[in-house]
Amino acid sequence: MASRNDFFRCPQAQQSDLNCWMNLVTQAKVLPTVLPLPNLSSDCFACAYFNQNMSRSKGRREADQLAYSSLSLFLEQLGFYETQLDYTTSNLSKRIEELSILKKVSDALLESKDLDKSFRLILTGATAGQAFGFNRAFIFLVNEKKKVLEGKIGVGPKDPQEAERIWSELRQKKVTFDQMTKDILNGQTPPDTNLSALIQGINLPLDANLSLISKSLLQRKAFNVSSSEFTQIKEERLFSILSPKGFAVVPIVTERKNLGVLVADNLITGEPILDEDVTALETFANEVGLQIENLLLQKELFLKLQELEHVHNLLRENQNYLLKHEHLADMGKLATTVAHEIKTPLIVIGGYARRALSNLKNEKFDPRDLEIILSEVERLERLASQILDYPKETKLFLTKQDLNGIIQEALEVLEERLKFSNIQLKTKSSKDIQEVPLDSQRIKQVLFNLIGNAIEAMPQGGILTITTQKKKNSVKLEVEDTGKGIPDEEVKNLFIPFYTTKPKGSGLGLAVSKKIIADHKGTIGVQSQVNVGTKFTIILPLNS
Amino acid sequence: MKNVSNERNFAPYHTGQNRTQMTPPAILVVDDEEHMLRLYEKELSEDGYQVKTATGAEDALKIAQNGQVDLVVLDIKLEGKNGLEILSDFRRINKDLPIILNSAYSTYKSDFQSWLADAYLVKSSNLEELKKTIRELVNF
Repeated sequence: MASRNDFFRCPQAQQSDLNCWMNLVTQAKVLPTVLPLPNLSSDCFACAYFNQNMSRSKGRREADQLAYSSLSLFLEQLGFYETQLDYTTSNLSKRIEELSILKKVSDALLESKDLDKSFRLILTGATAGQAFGFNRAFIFLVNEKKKVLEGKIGVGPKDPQEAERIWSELRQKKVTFDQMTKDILNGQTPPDTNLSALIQGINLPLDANLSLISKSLLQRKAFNVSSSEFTQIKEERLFSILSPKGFAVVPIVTERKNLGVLVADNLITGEPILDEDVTALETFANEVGLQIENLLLQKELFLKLQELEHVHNLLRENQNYLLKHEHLADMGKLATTVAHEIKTPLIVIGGYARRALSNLKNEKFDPRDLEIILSEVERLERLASQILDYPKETKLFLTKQDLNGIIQEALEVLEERLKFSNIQLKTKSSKDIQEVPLDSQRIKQVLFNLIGNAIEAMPQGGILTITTQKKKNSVKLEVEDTGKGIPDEEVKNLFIPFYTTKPKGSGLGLAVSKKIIADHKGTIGVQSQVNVGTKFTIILPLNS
Repeated sequence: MKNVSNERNFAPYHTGQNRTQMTPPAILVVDDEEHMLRLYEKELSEDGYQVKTATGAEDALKIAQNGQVDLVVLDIKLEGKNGLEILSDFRRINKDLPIILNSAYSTYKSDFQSWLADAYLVKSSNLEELKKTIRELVNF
């Protein structure tokens, strides 16, 4: 049995709750409308029941009534559709504009390396034309040390007069949003409206009970703060800045971090802030949050880098200072060693000269005293010429030579000394070094010095190892002994001219060797351990 | 360092207390510079001393052990053992033997080993100060 409700049910829709438009309209006079009138849909025009009823009513009074009432309802519904369509279209275009602004701001943020510029971009996005459409916007950032939200930057006019000036200027110049972002990126920001200065002194406690703005951040929720709510909050300084009609506050957060908040209001136009506007702004803040976090990290990194650079500079300055002083210290050591070297002959000369002078008048005068004076003077002359010869630029006669052959020649000269000192010789030669550009006489001099030192370091005998090794662009030559070694504090002085640990050394052997190797554009280094031995390593370039 | 002007109970190194006025004090000069040794030898022997010379630690100790030595003039920078080490060796054998360190360098004064000597004189071509110190130390 069909119930009354079945009568109202749509005959087309199977097992559905959809009501039949036709039945409801025709019964409307009889029954007060108990059920909501469904929308007339395109399906109705295809419905046999609908068409049958419509055609049956032609020419009949009752039926005219039906046609009239259905038509008016039909028109009414069309109007409703139109408004809805309009609303959806405008909403959609607003949404599209918002997305395009968001995209532009995001793109610009990627380009921007400057925190201030980035904030300005974001706020310009929030206040741009039709998209988010706020009059003014502000950014507050978390200061973790102080546990506060600090006012950072504001964009927009301070008062209606300023708004009039700025907005008419923008209209006149037909400045597009693209142009604005470009200007900001190029550092051509419009003259500051002092809005930033106004909020820069403001620190809000990071406590949801004390600050509505902090609450938004801590709860990660957007708020549309109405004027009545606004008057209840205790942030007096904000009260004087933000619109008394209310404002929007949305958190800027990432998954990991609470960064700050974006605050926006319509002080100038006084337009009410809709919840949709707040949602849109929240979406915007979510999108830029990650980029702000990146920028903050970048800034931190930059500061650290600057710090490092500063430290590096300090170190370099100190190094220069040290080098300079080390050089002075070298000069001092040089002067000291030379002075001592000269002193002994001077004492001898002086002593004999005194003797000669006092003995001249008596028979004790011995001409041999004068001979001693002469021989000591000659010693001084030799020393002086050594010193004078030392720093002279030496000219090398470079030819491609077999380094092993040169080592062999040097060893032949020293063969007797090695045997006499009971020193066992070991050589490990690379066969691949027959064409090393070098001055054979000079290199031999270096070898004499190094091998001579090695022999002196092993008075009780030992092992002398000479190794050659071909590297990619160079040759390595090592002279290693198993002698008494050199204490650490002396190693650093080894190559200083006239520095010597040997009672009869000139202090020139290693200094001259270093000079010769340096003239070959090579390097010489030393490793030594007391009572174990000493190893000199020479690197000679193959392409000098 | 002991005060050189002190009157001291002077004990000859090898021969005990038997030195008479007839035998002149024996002075051992240790230096590795041949010409320096010759100069000291000439100057001191002309002053009446008996002068012995050595160029290194081994010689010096041998001479001191084999004969009379009343005072040592000791150079510091020597081949092998240096003067400060020789000074310690001498002191181990005879703590009363007068020893004068005589070096071209003044820096060894700060080495506490040098404080074992009776005097530290920096070498000079003028031997007057050395001679004066020797006279005071051997009471000659």
